[in-house]
Amino acid sequence: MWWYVAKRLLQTIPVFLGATLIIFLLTKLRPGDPIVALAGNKPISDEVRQALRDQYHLNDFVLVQWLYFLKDVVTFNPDFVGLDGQPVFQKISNALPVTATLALMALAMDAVIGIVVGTIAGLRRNGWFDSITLVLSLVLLSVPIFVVGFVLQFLFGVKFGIFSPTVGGDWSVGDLILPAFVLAIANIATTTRLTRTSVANNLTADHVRTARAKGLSESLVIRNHVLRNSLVPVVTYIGINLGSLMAGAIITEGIFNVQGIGNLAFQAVNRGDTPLTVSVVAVMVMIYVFMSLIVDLLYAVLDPRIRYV
Amino acid sequence: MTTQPVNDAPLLEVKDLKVGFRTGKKAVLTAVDGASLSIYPGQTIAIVGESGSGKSTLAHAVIDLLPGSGHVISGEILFEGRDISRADRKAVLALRGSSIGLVPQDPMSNLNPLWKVGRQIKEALVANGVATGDAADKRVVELLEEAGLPDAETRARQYPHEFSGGMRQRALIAMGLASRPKLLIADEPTSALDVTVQKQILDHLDTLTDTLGVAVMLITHDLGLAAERADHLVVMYRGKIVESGPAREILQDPQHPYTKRLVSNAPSLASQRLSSVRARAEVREQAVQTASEIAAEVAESSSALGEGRDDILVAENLTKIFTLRGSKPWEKIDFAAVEDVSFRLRRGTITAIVGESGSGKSTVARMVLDLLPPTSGNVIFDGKNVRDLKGRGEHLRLRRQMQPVFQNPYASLDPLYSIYQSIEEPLRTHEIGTKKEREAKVRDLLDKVSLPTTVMSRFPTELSGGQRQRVAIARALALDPEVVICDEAVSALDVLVQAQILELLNDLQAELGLSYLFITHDLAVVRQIADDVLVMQNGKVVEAASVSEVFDNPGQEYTRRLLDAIPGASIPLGG
Amino acid sequence: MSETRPGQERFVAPLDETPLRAIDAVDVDAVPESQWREAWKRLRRSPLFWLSSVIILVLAVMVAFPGLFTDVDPYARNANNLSNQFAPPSEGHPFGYNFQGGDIWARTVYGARASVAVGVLATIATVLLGMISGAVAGFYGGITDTLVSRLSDIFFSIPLLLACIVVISVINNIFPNRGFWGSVSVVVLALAVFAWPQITRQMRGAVLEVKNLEFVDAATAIGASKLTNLRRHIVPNALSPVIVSATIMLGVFIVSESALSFLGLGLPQNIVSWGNDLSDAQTLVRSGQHLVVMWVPATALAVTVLGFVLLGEAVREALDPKARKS
Repeated sequence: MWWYVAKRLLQTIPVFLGATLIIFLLTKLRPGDPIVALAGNKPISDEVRQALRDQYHLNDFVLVQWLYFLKDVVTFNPDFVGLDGQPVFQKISNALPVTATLALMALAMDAVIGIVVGTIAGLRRNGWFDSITLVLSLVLLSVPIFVVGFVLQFLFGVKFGIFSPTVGGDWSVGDLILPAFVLAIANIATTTRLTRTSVANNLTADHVRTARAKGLSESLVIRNHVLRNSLVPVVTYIGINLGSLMAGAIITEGIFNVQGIGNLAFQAVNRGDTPLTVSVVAVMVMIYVFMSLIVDLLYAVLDPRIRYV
Repeated sequence: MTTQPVNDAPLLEVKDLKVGFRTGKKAVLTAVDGASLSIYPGQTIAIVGESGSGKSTLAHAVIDLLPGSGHVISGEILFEGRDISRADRKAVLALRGSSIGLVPQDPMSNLNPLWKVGRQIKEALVANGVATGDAADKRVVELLEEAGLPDAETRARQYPHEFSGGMRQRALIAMGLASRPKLLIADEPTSALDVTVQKQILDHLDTLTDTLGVAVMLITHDLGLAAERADHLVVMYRGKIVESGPAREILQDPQHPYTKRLVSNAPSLASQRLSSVRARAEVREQAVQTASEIAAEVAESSSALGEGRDDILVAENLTKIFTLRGSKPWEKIDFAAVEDVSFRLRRGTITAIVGESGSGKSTVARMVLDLLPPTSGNVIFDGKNVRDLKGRGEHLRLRRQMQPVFQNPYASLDPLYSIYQSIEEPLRTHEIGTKKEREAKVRDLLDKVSLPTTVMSRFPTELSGGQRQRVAIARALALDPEVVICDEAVSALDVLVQAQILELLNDLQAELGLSYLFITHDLAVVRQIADDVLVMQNGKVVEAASVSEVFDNPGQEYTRRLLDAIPGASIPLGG
Repeated sequence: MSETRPGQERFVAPLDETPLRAIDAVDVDAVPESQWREAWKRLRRSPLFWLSSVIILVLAVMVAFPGLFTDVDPYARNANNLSNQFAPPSEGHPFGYNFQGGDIWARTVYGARASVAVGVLATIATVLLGMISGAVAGFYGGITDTLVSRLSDIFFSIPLLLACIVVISVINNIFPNRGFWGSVSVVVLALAVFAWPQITRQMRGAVLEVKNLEFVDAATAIGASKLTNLRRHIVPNALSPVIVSATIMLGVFIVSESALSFLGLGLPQNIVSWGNDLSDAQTLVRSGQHLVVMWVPATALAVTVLGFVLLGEAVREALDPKARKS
């Protein structure tokens, strides 16, 4: 298994390099001198400008610039600064906790609600609960996240005042309940559908019939042979979503004014701040790659048939 | 008549049972119609029938595990005198496992892949109140040993995927017998296994149920196997019992026309008939003659690939080595799927390659068909080494002269192609004839394989397995080949359909002078159709001889084992 | 020979009760039914399919002839009249006016065009890219497969929305004014370039499964070339999962466009689109006033996406091989 982990870690290198290179090149396509944008309206002397260009390696060939960037990222260089002169890693480490908490809370809601509702629907396939769940999950999949966000923000934040409508820089876990739920909605719908299908398919599996023939009570059959087997694909799906939840947080963070990584990315892109943009993307890519590795390993724990070669 | 004690009451009595499946709002499909049978304690009875005869449905009704919308419509199922078809859930639950055990059909899908084997057996012990805790663990090991699994203690801690098919079936037997039921339902318990493994397991099951005094209800499609294992036979056809009675009596003197058909066509039984050997000799004589005429034409013609030789297909030292990945990234394991296999196929005859799963027989077929390049060795088609073929043109000519018929009738036709398109495809690929001529040829081919031309516009999913196999044969014949490679071409079919297809292959050979390379796991079929046999084991040829030699005087221990394993071969037949 | 016990006497069913049928007889009266036709038959029976068809049909008419639904043209020079700001509904203006004094209903009707254009074009582009790359990777295997798979890994690892933001923001700075189709194609490009790996993986898996089936070997043995085999047998048989995904993807892309517009990076402000209208509405919503400004485009968007999600669901059921057997 360790060979597998090593191989997977090796495979992440080209993904990381490729993803950062793509975003790096894209941001470099942006016209205009970033130094001029940095200076804003202030007049800037040529010497200062050249000095700044040198500092940001802007006079080098674009691939060399990318290598400089890689060096800074890989070494977590604390002096690696964005266009506004602020250290990139400090900004990211300030913004990461709130987004990570938000995404993890959404993940937890997704797992609990999706699995419970999906299981009930799957066990009572084509019953009224199943039908309602189907309609509800399809509707939830269709309504854009920001519309749901605004409606819930208005209802629970403004009208009933149960939650604070915006989060701001000084956040607590309680403030994040509403945004996390909004973030989780689409995933809950999908997890429910997936669990339902998985449970329903497993109910007719041969080994479940054999378990019944052994004389096991219905509740034991469901618990040990239907649910356990159904959860393998569901857990995999939920796990792989942490990355997409963090990215999806751009919208949610915008609605609830959360000072997280999505917000940071959005500002960086809008300002044309290449170092910060690419760094944020690099972090996202790393999280995605790391999560998919975890999910793969988890899969092996859940399913003994999976062997790593 | 009555030496048997009269107080001996049946263990299970099925009376006029009718089982149906709901197919629509009101529509009901009757799967079992008016079935009655009795099983006495400790007795083995067999229910025989083809797929769709209702035999498995009957068995599942007894243990109340009918799938989907299946339900008992009328009739009684009396277990020890109590009607269980109307019993409540709790009463049925109490019977399952502890009074009625089940050994299911497919060992691959009937164990939960996520739990250790030992735990799955323990579960049965605990649920039926036989044992708990450490005592149960100990009992599990004993049960596995009893089922004939060596090294049971280690095996109990392993997962199903670490078991071979035979081992899984043994575990399932241990599970079915775990709580010492009085009746064991064995639903085709060995049909997914190789013949030699099948024999071992059935022998073991026999001894075990005899010692324990367990009654067995054996469900099988194989009449020979049923007669060999059971005292009482029940023959089912289209949901109804057509004949039942003492096994030997039925075999030697079948009364119902359906049973007669079964007895005369079951390959395991038919293989001992001399009549089939004589019929084969006639076919061969005719085929060899037609083939030699064709050979003369080929020798003259410049467009054909071959030289008109007598040995139309020769394999020389064929070897295929697959390289597998090891547990470490730099490790490579060489696996010889086929090692040094040589044979020759004479024009107008049939050479069979027989072997169990993993013997490499299908790999040989793929190499001969030029679908898989051999690691070393040569395939020589009518004097031409396939390796030396140049360009697409020569390869296409080889393809024209050698065509395959594959095993799986559900996968060998493109489901999106109509029957017409499927048969026409080879003609179109080789740009033969105009559209009209091609249509005439397709009609002619359908006629040759005895299918009505109305099927032309139909699609494979609408045809039965046997009908699809006919279409596959028609497609193979479209290019007027000289050699047809049949890779397990009849293995997936019901006995009667299988016999029909074999007859068709024989007729076509006599008419067209074809030569067949016939790949199969079933030695019984070989006797009916082949002239020469190659017995393969683990990638190597263990015996090569004529059919009569192999059957009458097998030279190798392995061949003898294969012959012994043919179920029912030892039962003398009447008529 | 053991004695016969009661209930086990020799029994032969009367032949008239159990007539023999010809072995493996062909049902000559059956109507031919291809897989696609069979799927269509099942689709026709599905209420989900009809509901979604109605939604999509109305949408299609709205896209083609917006004039049938409203007399107001929001692209007209005098379409926005500040004196109409938040004016209540009136004859011909069923939902009243927005902050700029634009007719809410007319804007929603005309906005359909942008949303649908992005959804349809992005789906076509993504499916083409994904189908070709996935089929090639799965069929040829080896180094081709490794290359395509690694490349798709890279694009898959970057979150879609984030990648789109970067692409669109850069292009916005290069070509600030692009007109309707120019703007639409930028969003389409951004979505397609980063969404194709999803289809690639699916197609690759399906092709790997199909290419080992015996009918592919049979076609090779007939003499069909690799490419012919891929085109005639493998791709058509690997298509159903992609069709289902494509239908659902269409809905997802429409939502994505509105999300991008919401962030100010979708279609430019001068294009009437649901995303832009929703983006405009956000400040009003916080205060809980004039909610109709949000409800109308939001409902239109949700119903549209629901139409495609339902269609995907119906098609999935119709193409499900498990459903086929019964």
